[in-house]
Amino acid sequence: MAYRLPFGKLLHHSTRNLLILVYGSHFQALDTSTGAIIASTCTLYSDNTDQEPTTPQVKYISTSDVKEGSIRAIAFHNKVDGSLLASSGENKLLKVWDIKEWKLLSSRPVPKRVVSIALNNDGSQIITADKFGDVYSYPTNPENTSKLLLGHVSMITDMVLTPNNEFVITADRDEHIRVSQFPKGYNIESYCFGHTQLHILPWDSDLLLSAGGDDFIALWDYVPGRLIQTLDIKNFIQNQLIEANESNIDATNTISESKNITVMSISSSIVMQHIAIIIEKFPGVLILNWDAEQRHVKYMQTLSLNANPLDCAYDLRGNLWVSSSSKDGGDIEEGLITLFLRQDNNKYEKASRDHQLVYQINKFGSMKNDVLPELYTTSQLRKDPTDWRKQKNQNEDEDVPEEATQMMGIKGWII
Amino acid sequence: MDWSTHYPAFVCEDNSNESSFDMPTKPMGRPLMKKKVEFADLGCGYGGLLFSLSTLYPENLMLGMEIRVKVEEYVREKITALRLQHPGQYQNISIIRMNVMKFLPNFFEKGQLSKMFFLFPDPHFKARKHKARVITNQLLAEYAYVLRVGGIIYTISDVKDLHEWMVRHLDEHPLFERISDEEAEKDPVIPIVRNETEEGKKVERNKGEKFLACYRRITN
Repeated sequence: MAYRLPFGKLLHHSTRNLLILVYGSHFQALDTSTGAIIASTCTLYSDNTDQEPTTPQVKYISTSDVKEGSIRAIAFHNKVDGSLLASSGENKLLKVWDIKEWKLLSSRPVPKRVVSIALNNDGSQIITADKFGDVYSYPTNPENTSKLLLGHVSMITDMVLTPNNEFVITADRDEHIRVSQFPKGYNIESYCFGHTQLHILPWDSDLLLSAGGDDFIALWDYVPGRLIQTLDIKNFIQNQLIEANESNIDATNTISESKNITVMSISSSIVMQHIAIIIEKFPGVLILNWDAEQRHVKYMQTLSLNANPLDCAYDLRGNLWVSSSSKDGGDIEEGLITLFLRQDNNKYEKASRDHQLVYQINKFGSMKNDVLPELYTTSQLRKDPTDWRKQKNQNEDEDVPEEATQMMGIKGWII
Repeated sequence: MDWSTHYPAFVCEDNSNESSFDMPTKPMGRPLMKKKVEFADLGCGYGGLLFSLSTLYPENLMLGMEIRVKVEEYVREKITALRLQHPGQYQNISIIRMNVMKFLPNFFEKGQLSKMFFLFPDPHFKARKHKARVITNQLLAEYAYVLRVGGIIYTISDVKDLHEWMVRHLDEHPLFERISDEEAEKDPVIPIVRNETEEGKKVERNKGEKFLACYRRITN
């Protein structure tokens, strides 16, 4: 059976009406003011039985790929005149694209799988964080050599470069968030302890929002490494799930009440200072708003979906774009992309599947494939909470088993 | 981190609590300590350095860190025994079983330590195991974070190749500066570093060579 690939990753430009939608090893670019697909690395989807006459005209981008691999990280040069897009993923290639001409500028091998990418403010450096725990800086010009900025012993789960480019913030699998100076990554400014997903609030760029496998999200003043707030989000989800059960929505593939939650993605809109949170296998998007006076986040509402969301992105007008995937890869009533239009009162209204802004992408977006790629990778990072002493073969002296070394440090500070 | 069980003699008498440094998952409040750990022996083994330094610097708290279960148990019991045999003494030393390479910043604040010891670390001879060595470019940033400016890293090894590796990485790192051998020899800690650890004694018995290198944390 062939599946229509869901969009695993969405990224909106911070100054232009441009949304990148990633599916497997390909991506498409959409103008979020018109809903037109501008460019694609793959021919547009078409259903043979459909008599649709007008396939949109788009620019095809040649990827020159020999080896395909799902794109895991993507970043813009977020300046008005910026024309660069960087991407990397499972095929261990770092690619730089020109988003005015829509062409591949360069492709070079990287030592390990990249999990997160950023570009510095002048667009001269591409910063990558990889599964090995290292952060490198690559000159945009592929002829120059890369530089190791810093490294964690365990894998990095997310990275952000602060808007002022003074710090690079990395989260690792051992619950560390490390704030290092940029570009002098050997100078560690502070540590914040927790979490795998990082998000800088664009309206208050001293603040960092972090989330992961915990029931709460955390807000940090990251330069001194000070915790400002924790907000329990599991509560809101549980209430929502109870409602969902009552209204008989198929919840078989959704998270159950007792289970742990895993935050997959955080996005924010500077327009109304809202934060959107995607939780693995929860059919909705949590919306938080910002209390500027108290410098706190507050729960506002949950936008419900008929399928499980994978990622979301705000456009420049404060509309929220959400990509979803059904359990079996089959058709989703709402389409692959659901758009929540911002209303004047800062509430959201779900656009219909045929709304002009999402019509093209839902009709022609993505492609058919025989296999679905791995969609839920965040929760796999969760560790086995069993005390390491009770785990298999206790090999005592010199040779400490792998599981043991992993759990060891936690003993120290759980006290 | 609750240090009161490690150094009961250094808990403040008035039972006041300090708020924990930021850790959202952990409850706040733990006994306030009169002092903070200042010396750390990373991979302390059987604790020879701790026992000798304890009486030389009775007012400084020091912590051994060791990954092997049995070894940690042995040192912990030895500390308990020494405290019983010598009332009032050995109150300033303790040990934690942990993975230093992963969790060091969970135990110490920025600039908390004044001395860090890497004595006869595992040489990890094979090239593909070099990343497991305790001195690497990446980890030196963490050591620089917990070590205050002016603080000292002591390294010693009987394996020349490893010694050269440690020297090369420390030399390359912008936050460390080599202390000349001449100056290092004046440090009262050096004879202990050289002779009081189990490994040091073993090398002595086998008439092996010992290579020492000390570095000072500098500002960038």
